[in-house]
This record gives sequence, C-alpha cells and structure tokens, in this order.
Amino acid sequence: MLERYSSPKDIASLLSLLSDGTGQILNGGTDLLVQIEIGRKKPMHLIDISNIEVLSRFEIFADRVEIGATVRVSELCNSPYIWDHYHALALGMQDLGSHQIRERATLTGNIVNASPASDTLPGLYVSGALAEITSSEGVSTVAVEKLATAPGRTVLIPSMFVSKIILPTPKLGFRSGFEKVKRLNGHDIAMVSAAVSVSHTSLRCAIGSCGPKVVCFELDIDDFQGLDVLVAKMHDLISPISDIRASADYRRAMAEYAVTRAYEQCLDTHAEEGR
Amino acid sequence: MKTQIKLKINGENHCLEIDPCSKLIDVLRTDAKLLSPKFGCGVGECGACTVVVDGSSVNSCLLVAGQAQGKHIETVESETPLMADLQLSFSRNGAVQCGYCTPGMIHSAYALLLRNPQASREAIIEAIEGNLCRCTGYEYIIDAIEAVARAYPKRYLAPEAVKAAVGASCERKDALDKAQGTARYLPDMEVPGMLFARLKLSPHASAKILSIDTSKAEALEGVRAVLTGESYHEKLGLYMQDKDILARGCVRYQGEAVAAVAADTLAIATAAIELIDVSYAPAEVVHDVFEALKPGAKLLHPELMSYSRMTSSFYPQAGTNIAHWQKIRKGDVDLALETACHRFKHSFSNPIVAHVPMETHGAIVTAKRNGEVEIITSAQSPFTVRHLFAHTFGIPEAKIRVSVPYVGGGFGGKAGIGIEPLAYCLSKSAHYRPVRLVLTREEEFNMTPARQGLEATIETGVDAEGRILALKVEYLWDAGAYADYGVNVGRAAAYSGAGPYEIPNCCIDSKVVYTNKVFGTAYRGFGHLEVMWGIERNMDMIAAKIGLDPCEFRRRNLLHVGSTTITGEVFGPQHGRPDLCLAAVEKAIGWNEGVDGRKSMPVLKGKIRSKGIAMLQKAPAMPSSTSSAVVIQFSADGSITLQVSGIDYGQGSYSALAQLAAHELSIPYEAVRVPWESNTDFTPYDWQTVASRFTVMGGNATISACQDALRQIKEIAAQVLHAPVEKIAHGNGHVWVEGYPCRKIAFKDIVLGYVYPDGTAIGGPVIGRGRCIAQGLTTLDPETGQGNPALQWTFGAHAIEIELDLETGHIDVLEVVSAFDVGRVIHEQNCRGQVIGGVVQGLGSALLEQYIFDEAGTLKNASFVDYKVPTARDIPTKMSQIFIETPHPQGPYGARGVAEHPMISIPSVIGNAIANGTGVDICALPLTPERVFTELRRKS
Repeated sequence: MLERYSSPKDIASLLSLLSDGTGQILNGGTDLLVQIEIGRKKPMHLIDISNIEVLSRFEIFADRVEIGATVRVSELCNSPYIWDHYHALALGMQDLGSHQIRERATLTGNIVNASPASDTLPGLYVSGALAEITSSEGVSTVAVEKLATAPGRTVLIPSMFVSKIILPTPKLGFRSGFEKVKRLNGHDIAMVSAAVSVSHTSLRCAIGSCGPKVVCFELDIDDFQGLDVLVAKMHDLISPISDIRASADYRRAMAEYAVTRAYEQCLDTHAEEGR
Repeated sequence: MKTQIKLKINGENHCLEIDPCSKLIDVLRTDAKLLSPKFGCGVGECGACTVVVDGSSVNSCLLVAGQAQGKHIETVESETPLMADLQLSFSRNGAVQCGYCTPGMIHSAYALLLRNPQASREAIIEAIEGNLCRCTGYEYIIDAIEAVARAYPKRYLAPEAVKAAVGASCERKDALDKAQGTARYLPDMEVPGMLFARLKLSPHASAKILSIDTSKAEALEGVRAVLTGESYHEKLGLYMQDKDILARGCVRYQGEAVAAVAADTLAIATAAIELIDVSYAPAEVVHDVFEALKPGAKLLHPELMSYSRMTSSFYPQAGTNIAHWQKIRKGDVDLALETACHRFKHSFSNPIVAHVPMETHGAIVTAKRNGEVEIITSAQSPFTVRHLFAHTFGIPEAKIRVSVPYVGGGFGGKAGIGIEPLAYCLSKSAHYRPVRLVLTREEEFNMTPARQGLEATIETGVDAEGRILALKVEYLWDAGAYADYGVNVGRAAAYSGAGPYEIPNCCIDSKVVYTNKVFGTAYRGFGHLEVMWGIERNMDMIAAKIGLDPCEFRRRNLLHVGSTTITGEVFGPQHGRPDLCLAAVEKAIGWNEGVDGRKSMPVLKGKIRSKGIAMLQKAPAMPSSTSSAVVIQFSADGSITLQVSGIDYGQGSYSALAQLAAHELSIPYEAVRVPWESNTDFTPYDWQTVASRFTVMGGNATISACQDALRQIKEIAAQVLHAPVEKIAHGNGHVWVEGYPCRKIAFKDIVLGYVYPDGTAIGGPVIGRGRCIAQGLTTLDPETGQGNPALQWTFGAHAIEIELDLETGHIDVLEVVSAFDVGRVIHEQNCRGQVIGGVVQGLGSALLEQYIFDEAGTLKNASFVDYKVPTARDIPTKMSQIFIETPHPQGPYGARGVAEHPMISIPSVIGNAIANGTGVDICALPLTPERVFTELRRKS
C-alpha cells in the first residue's frame, strides 16, 4: 500500500530517504505509475526527485554532454546539439511513446527500467554513454549497457540511483543511425529496434527486443569487412522470442532490416557530420 | 496521509488537502471538480486525460498530485483567447463527434500552439498522436488545429455559420458544449448517496465454479453488497436470452464477471474484489468454430433449446453449439456450379475485434424500495434497455426510467443491454442505494462484447462472359460464449451475404457458433465488413484468374433495375446506383492510368505502390416493425424543443434532425433545441440507435412531427384569418393567407395559444407528434431466407492507393476515395465526417486490430499497449468522399443511412491493392506487417 510521498531538495536528503530500502524513486513516472496502476509494482514510499536542482541539468562540455536524471526526453528532442552529435539517440527518443510521454519521460528512467525494448538504450550504447551512479559510498560510473541484468532488473541496489548520463563528445567521423520497427506508425513498443555507430576505430551495434536485454556489441573497425559481417554477428548474438507483438522469425528478419537501415544511415554522405 | 497541495488551475489558486500519491486525474476530477480530463485507459496510452501542466501536454493519469505541486494546470475550462479559438475551430470544422477525446485533444493542441503558434501540419500530428480518437479519423481535428495556427498572429475567425438549408453544414448542436468541457458523460455524473462498484472477472476461458468465498470481502469496512451468480437467476439477451447476469456454475470465457462488489469508495470496492476467493476447476476450452462444430464437441449451452428467443427469426440447433442457422436459398446452386465454365473456392478469415469507444461502459442504477428503477446509462438505446430490463426482471415498464447523457462513442458496443442489470442487482442488495459501475479499460476489453470472428468459405461459378452463375457460401461466426445479439449479425450478414451483385443461384449457410471466447455483438457494419472481406477479395481473385479487369468484372455482375436480390427483392430505381459509385471511385483514383495501370513503379528502395477497388452494400439490420417517434414543443418565442430517444453518440444525428425541423417549419436552425439527454420518462419511443437507421427513421418522424405542428398552427391561423385551413401558407416563422402575405401572424403568437385583442384566446400549446415505422418489411422464410428484410440499401465503393514496404510488410495508405449513394446529403460536414471516421476505423480492422488468445483461451492483448487502434499518424495522406444522390422514397428528403458503410470493405480494398501490387492473395485479417511480410516471403 502506497503510504508515503517525499520530495527531497538535495542529494543528501535523497540518499538518506533511500537508506531504509523501502523507497521507490519517482522520476518521470511514465512507466512506474503504469506498473502501480496494473498492480505489478506496489511501492510503499514514492520519492519524487524532480525538485533536486542538480539532477535537472543538461550541460554541454568540450569533451562530453551531461544529462541529469530528471531531464525530460522532450527537452533533449528539442536540442539541435543532440540531433547533430547523437543522431541514433535522437531518433530513438523521438520515437519514445507519444508526445505526452516524452514530456514526462527521462533518459535515466528509460534505462533503469531495463526493458529489452528500450527506445534509448541502443542509441546511448552506440554513443558510448556512461551512467553516473550515486550512493552513500560516493559517485561511480558504469557503461550504460552494464546496468541491466535481466528484464526489469539492474545492478542497482535500493540505496543507489543513476544521477546522470554522460555522453562523450564524438570524434571526427563518428556517425550513427537508428531504426525501429513497429506495428503501426503511431506510438508503439518496438517489435525490433537497432542502432549502429561507426567511428574511425570501431563499429558499435545495439538491437532492442531481441533478447532479455538490449543486445550490444562492438567490432574493431579493422575486423569490419562490410555489412554481412555485422549482420552475421548480430544473428549470432540475438535470441528473439515469439510473443503477441511478433514471432521470433519475423523479429530475426526485422533485426536484419533494422541493422541494415541503421548502418546505411551512418553511410549517408549527405548527412551532417556526427550522424 | 494527506498533505496540502497547491495548484494553480486555469489561473486560480487552489489549496487542496489530498494524498500526494493520488493521480492528478483523480485530483482534478474529484477534488477540484474539473471534469474535462476524461478517463480513457489509466496507463497513458489514450490521451483522454491530457491536461496542460506549465505549458506542456501530459497525461494526468501519469502524474501524482505531489509532482504537480505549485504547477499551473490549464484545461478547456480556461477562458484564454487561444483556448477559445481552438474550441470554436473544433466546433466549426467538424472536429467533434462523440466528444469524449475532445478536451484532451484540445489540451494537446493548446500546448503545441503555446510553444509553436504557427505549427505545421506535421507538428500538429506529432502533438496529437498520443490522443486516440475513435470517431473522427483525425483529419478534421488536424484541420481545426491548423486553422488556428494559420490565423496566427490574428485570432481564428470562424466562417459565418451556415443557414439551415438541408445539405449545408450547420454548426453541430453538441460540438461547442463538448469542446468547452461542459458536456456531461456518465462518469461525470453522481447521484446522492451512490456507491461504487467493481467486478471480479474469470481468469479461465472455461471452468466449473467450485466455490466462491465472499466472506472476507463482506467483512471489509465500507462494503455494502457482494454478489455472485447465485444471487440472481435472471437471463439476459436481446434476441437470444442465453446470458446470466453473473456467471452461474461455470464460466464460458476469460473475462466473464463472476462476482461484483458495491462499496462506499472505489478503493474499498477494488480492495474487496481482491478478497473474493473463487475456486475453479478448469474445463475443456472450445477454441474456435471448427472445434465447436466437430461431432461430439463440448456443448457450451446444453440447455440451448430452453432459452427464450425471438422465435420468428432465430433457429438454434438442438444438441450443437449453433445458436442460429440462417439459410438463404435461391435457384439451384449445385447444378449451376456443375455447369459453370469457371469454378472457384476460396476461404477467408476475420478475427474478433474490439469496438474501443473512448468512454468505457458505465451505468448508475438505483433500485427503489417501491419497486421502481432509475437507470442512467451510457447506452445507445434507452427504450431497449428499459424493455429488456423489464422483461428480464418481470418489472412493469412503467416502473422503470432510463436516461442517457452524452455518450462517448458506441459503434454498436453499447446497443442492446449491458451492465445495467448487474448495477441494479448491486443496488438492490446494497439496501437500495444507487450504484455506479464504470468499467476500466481492461474490463472493457476483457468483459464487454466484441465483434464476432468469421470464417467464410465461398464457392463461385462463373460463365465464359464473366457473369456469376452461382455462389455457395458458408459463414461460420465465432459468437463467443453468448449469442444474445450475435445471432442477428449472422442473420443480417446472410441476407446481404453475396455483395451488391445479381446472383441467379445462391445458397448461404450462416451459422452463429458458440466458443469459449468473449462474446459478440453489433459492431459498425453489423457483419458486413467481415462478409465483404471475403466477397470482395473473392471478386478480385476471380477477376485475376479469368483475366478480367476487376472493375469490369464487377460491372458485369452489379445489381441493376430488374435484378432480384438473393432474398427475392426486385431491384428498382429507388435502390440507388451501385454502378455510379463504382464509376466515381474508378475515375477519382485514376484506375488503369499511369505506367502500369493499377500497379505502379517501385517508388523507393524496397517499396511499391498499388491500387485497389472494392464495393459494399448494407441495409439496416432490424426487426421488420421497428419505429421512431418525435415530439416537438414550442416556446413562447416560437423556437422549438425536439424530443427524441435515438441517441446522438457522435454521429451528428441531432444536428441533422434540427436541420430537417428548421427546414420543414421554416424557422432558423438556431431556433431548434435538441436536448442531449434522452429519458424514457420524457422523450418519445425509439427502438434502438443502431443500423444507420436513426437519421432516416428519426428524420421521417421529425418531418411528420413538423407537419403535425404546422397543421395545428394553420388551424388556429385559419380561424383568426377567416380562411380555409388549406389556404394558409407559412414561411420564416409566420403564417398568412395565400396571396395575402401582408397580414402575417408569427408562430410565437399562435404556438402557446392565440390571444385576440380583447383578451379572449383560442388554441393552446402546439405539440407536434411524428412517427415512423418501417414499411413493407417481412420476416425471412426459415428454410429459404426469402423475404424483404431491408428498409433501404446503401451502396458504395472504395478505391485506394497504398505504399507497401516489401522489406517489412508495412503498409501506408496514400489515398482513399469513397463513394456512396446516400440518397440526399442532409449535413455535408457530418456526412464527410462519418466517412472519414469510418474509413480510419476500417483501417484499424484492416491493418492492426485483432484479439489474440493463447492456448488456454486467455485474451493476451487486453490493453492499449497491445491492442492498437489507428492514431493521427496512421491516417491516409488523402481521403475524399463522393456522394451520389438517388432519392429513396422511405428516406427524409430521400436520404439513406451512411454511418456504418464507410468502414465496410476497407480491409477488402487494401487486400485487393496488395494483390494488385504483388500478386499475393492474403485471405486472413488483419494485414499486419508480419502477416504481409510472411505471405510475401512464402510466395517468393
């Protein structure tokens, strides 16, 4: 039974509220409140982090971009800098839910949900994103793809939280692309999604909805002999299932399609630098 | 744990003592009494509860009160200029039908125009894509928002209101009320002392109920009544009384209600439901019609023959799962098939589909100690609710009052009778306190009836000239667990089941079959979309095989003056012009024009474009004696109140009736009031608001009521003016003696009684009384189906151009052209709005929608997360409507119904376009990307 609501103003208060292990962080709430509505989650204590100013910062530095935990997806979608430098991520965010959802949803919330169908994790991974984890022990960082362990599960323990996402500034020649396959043009959970990035040193690829976690892998650019290598590697790693949204066979075919399209976007010579 | 939450709502400061964890939608509706945010799903998928928070559009079901602390919330109740402009634009541009999604839609538009006052059409679509609308097909909504954006920086100026001419687009009577958030729907209503109900649904598709332990629920404080199937034993049904109020002894579908609770609050009722323990013994599941018809199949209703039913029309088969078997027999089909030059056999399949009204079913029912019953319900047909209710419980109709407020969409799903009896039983058990039962979206999907599935097998014999000689059809309807309404779908779709063609030899067996699935009911098109999926795909498949152009093949077989239909009706000029409908869409789509006729060149990598054509027809499916009535009462200023019990749940019929009345009486459209509430106590009888019959029959009744009123007015005028009554003329709200227009008397001086200069008076209040009963209809012969079942046929055709992505199977619809012989357009904008909305709803059936069941018979997609309906992003790039006007003698000014028709044959036309583009014939719906992709791969 939900019986307590807190709205800390700073990190210290948040850590102290988290210390008893019963608190559930409420960020954008677009997923958590649905889980509560359908009875899948029954937290006792909601901790609204929207009033912690430091978590709401979206800052662009010379070598990185920092996106605080409570920065909304809609704000990021409106950033030309994000579109220019992290095209795959921008495309994924643009396709996250409906407009109303993007007005509330956050990148951090989307990745700590640990959904294999995450619309943003593929783009974050191929951009080399790190998650900053804060706990009473201090601050550490982890690669975003290391957060999820299984559907809905992460490495985080209740006294920890993701405080920001750090995106390294892309090197010259970095390009990325994203493709999502849905049942309709309107908002939908991905049947399959894929992001690909290419840099001078490596090729990164992430496929959503084709396994218990978003499937992420990297190829050394010297080992990359063309699209076939990428597709073959992808087929080795994905393990799609059949469910009401799609069959495993269709998912395999669409994974190939989405990876190909995402890769082609990277090659698009008309695209702006960074895409 | 309540705290003080400060909110600014539409510029006013509110300080509320509330639980910060409560949802913003509940706070706004319950604590702040702001009723424009509507409940649609509770999980952020439908957008009905969208509000503007600090300038952003958000779902108020996905925000808790604490998160809104200190924020400014804006809604349609606000009076800012931008809000007013949007409301006016929605109202004038046909963007409002049932109106339930309208406030949320306007809120999304408002937030968009705040940040981007000159938003592009693309930006508008992006902004409202999260707001589902089931009625309008979005196009007029997008137009309405665009009109405001284009006017910027000036304020939106609506074009001058149209005068009341029949055929013109007067501003809808209900539109502004809905756009301003003041229209009241059932969930907005409260009755003093009312309790809140919740239901316990069966998790099993088929099981014996071993026991139900309600003791813990009953012990919970605040619980006032707990019911199980054993509490009441009455059977329900419109045509076939086969359904219990709550499951008794066994459950026949997953989602069937097994217990119900009424409590002081919804939270208590919800908690009590969790405390009810039901013990089941799962039983064999009958998954589909084929299993159900196997010899020795488990019988869902062993007592089938004992159910009371409308015996003149329905024929259950003893010892089977067949609830009704409709036969159509014309000529000698077997002989004709044997001798035909070409012979074909094709099978087609349709899944079960949900109606998805944006407002879920709801009712507030008060059982009274004196034996009376007061029902407020979100229903399509107050008199049918009353009649069936009285019949079910053995209560005289005179003791029952049924009233219907604004209804947030129905599409057939709110026809007949629904949850009202259950709410009544709860009220009775809760010591006669009023009980409100409003279904959650999950309950709406799981429990309420849906559109039946259909398996069709069509054998066709065609001669060397491409004329159809014989059609032998089997329709197997997946009625689900109950067939109270579905039997009539099986009947209507059979007598219409050969399409708009002349078939000399025809044999149709239409069987309505019980299975362990959610049960079927009326749904826009009443079986015709399902039947035409087969018939119209069959036409194209045959045309391709015999090498005829599909339009030419149709032309050679269309019904024409002198043809007889499959039930023996002789086709006359009054039936309208299917040939003109076909010709119109053929021309508009550019059939056989371009590089490769109906195929076109690959446009982009992996994508092709192609065209398709399909036809359709439908007549109202109703008993032969259904009727409508209208009463017109005058006010002191000469304006009128038009009372009617057909329900305008979005179609715009009330505005059409107002136009007819204004025209007949020659008074301004604005002088006609059509109350939004229908009430069996005050408004006159109407059978049901279904079957695209209301504007026709209600329209006729309106005309006759106007003529009755005019006769009374003229009788008084004749006395005053000293002239014979037949010499009295009328116009512009006045009467005069023919040829002497200088001495006029205004209606207002007569309608409440004429007063002479000396004070003496004659006449008295004029009350116009009009009625309409279907003429010349008969029941159908039980063995041959011969007879006259159709009040009027409406024929139509669609042509389409699609873009198909060969790599994914995804289809985008580029253009849809639709033509209907509507007899006479009464309200042009509404007429187009019905077509656009129907086409888009048809796209849902064509491309997306289906109930998915697992092996255990459990519905797997009972939410908007996985039951997808078209959004603003899914509509065709271009839609156009062509109206052909061949007057029908039984229609008001010749009008025919056209509400259901636009949806019919949309799946067929897309299936035909796929075949034209790829050579692949797909025979099962829906045409999901995966299905199309798989079928294309299988062929290559």
